Amino acid sequence: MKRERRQFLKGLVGGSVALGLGFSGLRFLEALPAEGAVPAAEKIFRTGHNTNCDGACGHQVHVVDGRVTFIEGAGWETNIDGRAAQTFNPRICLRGLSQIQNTYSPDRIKYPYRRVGPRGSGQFERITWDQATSAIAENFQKIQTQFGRESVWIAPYTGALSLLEGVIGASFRFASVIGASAGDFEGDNEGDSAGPAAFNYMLYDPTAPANSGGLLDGHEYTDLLNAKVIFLWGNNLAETSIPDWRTVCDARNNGTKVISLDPRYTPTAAGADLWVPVRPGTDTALIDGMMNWIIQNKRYDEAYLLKYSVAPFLVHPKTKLFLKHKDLVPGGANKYVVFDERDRTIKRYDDPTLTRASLLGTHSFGGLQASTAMQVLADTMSKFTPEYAAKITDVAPETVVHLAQLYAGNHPAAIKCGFGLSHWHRGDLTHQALLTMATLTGNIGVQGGGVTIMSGALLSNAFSGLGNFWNPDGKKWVPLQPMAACDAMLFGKPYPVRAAWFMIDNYAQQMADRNKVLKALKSLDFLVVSDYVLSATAELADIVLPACTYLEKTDLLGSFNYYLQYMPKVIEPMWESKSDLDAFGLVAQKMGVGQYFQKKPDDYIKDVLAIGDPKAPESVRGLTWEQLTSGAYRLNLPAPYVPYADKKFATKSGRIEFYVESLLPYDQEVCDYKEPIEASPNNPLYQKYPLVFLSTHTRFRTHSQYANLPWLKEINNNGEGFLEINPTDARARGIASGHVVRIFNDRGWMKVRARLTEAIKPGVVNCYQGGWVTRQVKHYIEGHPNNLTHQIANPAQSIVPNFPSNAAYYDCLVQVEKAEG
Amino acid sequence: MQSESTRAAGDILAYRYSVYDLLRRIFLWEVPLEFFAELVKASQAELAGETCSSSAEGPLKNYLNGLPPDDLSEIHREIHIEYTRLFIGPKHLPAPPYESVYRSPGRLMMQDETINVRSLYAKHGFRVTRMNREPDDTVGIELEFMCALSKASLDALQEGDTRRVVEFVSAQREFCELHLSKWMPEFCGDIIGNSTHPFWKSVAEFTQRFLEEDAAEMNAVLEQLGRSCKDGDPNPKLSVGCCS
Amino acid sequence: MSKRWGIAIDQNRCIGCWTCAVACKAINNQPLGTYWNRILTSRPNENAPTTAPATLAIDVPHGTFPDVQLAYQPTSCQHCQNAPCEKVCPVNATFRREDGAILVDFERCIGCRYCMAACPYGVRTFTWGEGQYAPEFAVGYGKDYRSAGRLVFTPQRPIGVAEKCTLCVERIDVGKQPMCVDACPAGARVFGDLNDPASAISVSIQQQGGRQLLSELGTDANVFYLPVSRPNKVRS
Repeated sequence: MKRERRQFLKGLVGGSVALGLGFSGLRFLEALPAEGAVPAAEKIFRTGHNTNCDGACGHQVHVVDGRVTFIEGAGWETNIDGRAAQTFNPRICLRGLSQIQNTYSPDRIKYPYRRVGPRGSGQFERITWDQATSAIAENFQKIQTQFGRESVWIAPYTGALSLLEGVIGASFRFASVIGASAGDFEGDNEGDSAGPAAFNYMLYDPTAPANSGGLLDGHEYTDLLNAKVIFLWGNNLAETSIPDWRTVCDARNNGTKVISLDPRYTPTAAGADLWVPVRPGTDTALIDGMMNWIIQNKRYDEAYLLKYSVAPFLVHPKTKLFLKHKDLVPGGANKYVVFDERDRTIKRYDDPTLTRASLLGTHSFGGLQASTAMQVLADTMSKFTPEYAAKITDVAPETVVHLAQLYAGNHPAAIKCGFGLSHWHRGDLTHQALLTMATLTGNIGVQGGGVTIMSGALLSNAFSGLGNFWNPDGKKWVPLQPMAACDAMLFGKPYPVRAAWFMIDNYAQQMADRNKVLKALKSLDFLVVSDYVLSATAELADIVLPACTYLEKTDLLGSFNYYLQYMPKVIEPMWESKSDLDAFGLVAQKMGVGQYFQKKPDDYIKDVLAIGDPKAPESVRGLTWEQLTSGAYRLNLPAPYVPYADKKFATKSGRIEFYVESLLPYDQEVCDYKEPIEASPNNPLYQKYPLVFLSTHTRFRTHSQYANLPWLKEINNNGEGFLEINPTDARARGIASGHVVRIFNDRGWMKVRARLTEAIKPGVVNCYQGGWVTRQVKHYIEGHPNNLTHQIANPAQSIVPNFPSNAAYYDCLVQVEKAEG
Repeated sequence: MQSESTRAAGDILAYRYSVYDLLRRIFLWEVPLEFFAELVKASQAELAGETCSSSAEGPLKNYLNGLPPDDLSEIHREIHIEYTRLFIGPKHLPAPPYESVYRSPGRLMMQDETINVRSLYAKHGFRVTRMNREPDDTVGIELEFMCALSKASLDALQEGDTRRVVEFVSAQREFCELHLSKWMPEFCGDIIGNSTHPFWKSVAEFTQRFLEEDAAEMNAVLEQLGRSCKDGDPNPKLSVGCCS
Repeated sequence: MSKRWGIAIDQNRCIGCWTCAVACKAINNQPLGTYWNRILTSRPNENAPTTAPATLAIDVPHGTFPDVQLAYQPTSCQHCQNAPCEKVCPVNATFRREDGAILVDFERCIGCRYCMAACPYGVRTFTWGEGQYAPEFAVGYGKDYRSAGRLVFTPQRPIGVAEKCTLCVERIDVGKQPMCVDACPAGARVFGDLNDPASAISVSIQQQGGRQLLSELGTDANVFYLPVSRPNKVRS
């Protein structure tokens, strides 16, 4: 067979030898070592799932030949000091099980990218990490020089809750060392801050900095076993914190009653002993009605109130501040005063001659009449008769009474709040009311009682080195909450923000008032996003950085339960992904502050936990590295953990302040019900938009994470969002199940299919949040629930530095109509 | 003295080596601007204004021929951007360059096919440099494997070691039959169907046609050398046209 | 006396979270669209229509607001003592172990699907062709398993055979529990020996009154559903 000597192109023989670019050798293949490839046996790792939910489950991860093949629940150890504190079952849910699909998703961002088209056009080119980090460093420096150091906003959020990578993580260290602003943890992005603000009002000095509110001091969930009645209030833990439902069921086996208060008949409501569909946004009125009954029927705990609360303290009728001894007696002390029932005089509360302080009553002094704080409360609550409360809340009067009887008549009584209460403009007031009611009945600091938002979050007990981790050499970041940052981007107030770096944060989709957020992000000079999939936020970036999933980096999880879960690197990072810690280190190096990122993850963990330090806090004393990395050990705390068990409160008075002086300017010194800012039938806007729009959290995702995983999508209507609507409301609009509907208000609109269900109160509609709206993946037909929501801030919260604002997602009115197509 | 058949085989092997090298560079995008410029220059020098009529090489050569030789940086950049869009990301890929995605419609990587490819590499003394971080069955790596074996076969031929030439070419044929032929046609089809860029379309057409021809070439070479190999053809012939 | 393995599902605890179903998919490396275990909904203490597809909307209750009720019914092979599928299999591929597990021998099954027609619970699946998997490499147990020499589990889903819940025999034979039981985050599943009156499952059935699905057909299932009872139910 004769053939011409062939070449593809003359002069291009054998890899362009002629060009001096000779056979460059192999780039992606190398010689196998002599012994050949030996298949590895199965290895099992224990790690914690640091995702954005209360579960904080421990995972046993099976790895064969470098690939993860299975994930299941892992076991738990004793307390650090060896005491067997409690039984804690292995726990996992459908989302944890699906993490294999997440880590090996074909949608993983593999490399750094740089935007090449207009922002949001989705045009990117691949670049190296070196190029990416140089670009970030240069642009940050340029912008900081021109607009001020705080004009760069570092924005981590709750996508991960572990120490180094998560919402309390290295982001703050980085922001501190470059002097940038940073979004604070548990800020207002998700509307979670209303509850903590209220804890600050009543149980702490609200003006004290670095104060975590009720987020870090909830009852350990196993304490629910000690409750005689459990109120799951605006909480759907059967979907959002599934393994803790087991504890609720165990409690029920002991006779505990379970009450669910929710405008929707959720799986939690379906499993409860009583379901109360409250009109959304009116829970404070219901609580006020319950309190009124408790006060009128003298079902309060007098001894508790006298000893641990401001109840007996007299209030100045003119200033409305607490009456002080110096107001009565020239040269008197700055001390609270009470009325002694025995000798019928007003005296200092710490007067040794005090026999019995009056709880209720109004007493004369200098021609004026001063009421006790308890009397002020009682007077304010007095209008909330069952009928009055019923009119506001749509809860029947006899049910208002019944709930009060259940709460006051069963001791201890536990209240577990969900963020269903917090996503309201007046969410702070609702929590204030709950705390007040818990105080009335002696349920704060009591086993089986309490008002719990979250349990054990972030373990401020254990992370004694956290301050140094965040603020090396005393450097501090400038706090800027996500909602305020939006205004800073758009209006330059309080100062301009011209650049941002998001990580574990899907701000462009999950933040309220999406149209405003998109405008803000598009106005930035420079936007960096770290993520592991091309989220709606990453799509807008100038630089996209590939992030690791939890299996690919070392970290420590200590949140939502009282166990420390070391997270080893289970597999090598896929593609060119890097941990956020590594990414910060690379940029810091180029910005001249690389010395702050020299340590390894294990070293930072040791520092924060003060391992080996005899002065480590008692909760972690004695913890060795070997112990930490060998299993999940519980803090040396009594089990179950009950906050405020010592009844010591960091308030000005040292007591529970259900009368809050600092809220006087906002007319909120006691928890008198106030209307929602928007979603009230008394709002004239209601004529145009008569439906309350909820966007709740579904079991098939964790907010916007895992929304595209096949195992979860295929059992969730193939990932397609829908609007839950009561048949009454649907029929009035000619809507049947499956029809495409348009949901709209003055801020924006969206389209999905309707699903008629009796599981929702008429006048209320719901579209699950967390679905994606990116150029390639749309889980809603058009638009997104956050097109409808707003960013109206509650000024009362401004008195709490850590929680000055709140995104009231549910305080929202819409209209729904059938759409074509 | 080289026999006629040996020389013919040498020509085929040299050609195949140059093509696999070129293709692996293109699909791995190891194509800096200078190299691209030389490619264009060489193509234009060769064709000298004529059109190439070969059905496999033609589209690509004609495309290169039509480019302005002095101002290629913008074009080069556009080709790179399209490369990223087609094969890299960050969005959903129109032509995911992984065998495992095409072998089962789940469109996911790191599958069992990946491990099969890994075993085949190992059988011939290779492994990927980024184990478990880049799939073994990425198109560029599979082509690099073919390129490495091509070079090895050419070296063996030049050393007169016919047995080893047969060994390497047989390995290539096995790899083509078990792997490349099972997905490359569809992959190239996806490029052609999803790209409007003439460079990538012509590369895909070339690749597709070249692989078809190469199946026959490998059989031809083995047949040639089988006649000159003392022990006869050590490998039974696999089915012809395995790449179709 | 030999064991009689059973599972009791407590409908007081089950909240329809699908964790057991996803765990089953993961441990058995099932393709997308295949459910050996699916979560149906019903009125409390009534049976969900067992032929309902897995993708029927859950969380939609019965009744009219606010008087609504809902119970969740995870449904997979009932491992009947008196199994219709076993009776109709022409090649004895479906067989019953002495301990109650109903299994399919993949090497014998000819894919005639009589068993699927005979099963009143609709819990058998048939793999018509190459499935879609995510991730594509075999996850979960990952190995072949033989019971008395018969191939009853293999990590790649074989084409053209009928399959169903295997009661995780590869796990229970080494003293573990079925994956759905281990994975349930609500503690709603109990596994054990129905022939042992002191076992946790026997006690819970006895105390709470477990019921079998479609018991009137005489299948004598080894899966029991503990009824929804709200002893603390509060009238409002």
